[in-house]
Amino acid sequence: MITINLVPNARRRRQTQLTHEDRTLIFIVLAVLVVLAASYGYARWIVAQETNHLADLNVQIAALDSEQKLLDLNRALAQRSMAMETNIVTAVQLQVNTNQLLDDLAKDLPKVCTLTQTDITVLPGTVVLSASSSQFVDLVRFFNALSADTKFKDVHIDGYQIPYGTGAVVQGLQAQATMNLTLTWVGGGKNG
Amino acid sequence: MGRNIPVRLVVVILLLGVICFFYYRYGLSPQLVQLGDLRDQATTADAKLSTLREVQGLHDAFVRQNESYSVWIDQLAQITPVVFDQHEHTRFLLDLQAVGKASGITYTSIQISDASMGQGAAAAQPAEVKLAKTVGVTMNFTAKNYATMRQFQDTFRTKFKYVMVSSNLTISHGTLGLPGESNPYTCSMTAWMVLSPDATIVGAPAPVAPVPQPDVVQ
Repeated sequence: MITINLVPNARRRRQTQLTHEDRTLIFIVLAVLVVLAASYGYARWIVAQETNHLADLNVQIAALDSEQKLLDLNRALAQRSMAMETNIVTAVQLQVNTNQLLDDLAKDLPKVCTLTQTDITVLPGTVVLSASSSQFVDLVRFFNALSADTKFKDVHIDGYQIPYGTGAVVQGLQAQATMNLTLTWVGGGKNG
Repeated sequence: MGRNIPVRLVVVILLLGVICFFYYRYGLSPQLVQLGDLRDQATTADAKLSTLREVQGLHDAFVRQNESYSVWIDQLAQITPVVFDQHEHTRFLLDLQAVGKASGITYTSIQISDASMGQGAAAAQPAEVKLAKTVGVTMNFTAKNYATMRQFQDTFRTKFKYVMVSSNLTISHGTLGLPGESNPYTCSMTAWMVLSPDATIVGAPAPVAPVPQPDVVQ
């Protein structure tokens, strides 16, 4: 049988013969597309599963709301008591035993001397003293003892007064020599 | 024909590469990110659920522990008050007078510096005192002798109901008495009553947020 194609050459459909390589390429492309589609579908399915699992967990958590409130209250109370305890510890550490300071001063004070005024600024431990004695040399001994004492530093004489009798006999308080000192207490520590 | 196959192959490979790239960028990657996020949430929720089940199992113990915490906090609030209003102010003053009387000293004046009595603002504490909330107290008192003065200092520091931090103490010893007579001491003490960290001082101004420093052009 003879087949006669009457369509003009320009409009004649190109009839190409698919080679083995072409078919292989098409197969590979289709296979890759199928794999991609399958992996996408699998990912969507996993996401959906995980979403359902999460929703289920949230439902169970919501059912235990009263326990959640109990736990929240427990944590809040624990936190608050901890903050208060920390505050107390800090405060106690800042407390200074001023009697210990007076004892330290008394150890250096000659018996014939009298402390007439003591001003203690606890932080940073600054002490301003006024001492009196009938003999100035005793006040000097006091100053020397304080200077040598490791519990004190920056011992400094702010001023002193020595009464000198001129004619009339000076007695009583008028006869007292006085000395004003400034020093810093370092040896007593805290809560001593 | 022999020359066309490599060109087609290259085109197909390039086409597949482009498809894979767009698939990963806009298809798979968002799914993986979402999945990772969901798994994180699920892990957190799982941990939370197991904790809650544990709490459920120990429900009574938690209730008892919370009650113990509340009692403990109330006890702590006795020594570091949570609220400092006029009621607490007057209660504190009465306690202060009581401890002074028990120690044998005589107050000549007491000033409690806080905002609850319309004294402007709460007393500022020294820079060295690193406590969140305090109320300032200045006491002037006389003690009949050295031992009484010392005893008050000890009682005030260790046995007083409230936690107090002394910041200044002035002891003046005037004329020495004759042998057998008492030697009165005149004292002035500044101390701080420590409040709870979350305490409120009624009337105190609200803390002002720090103003950001302007940029300085060198």
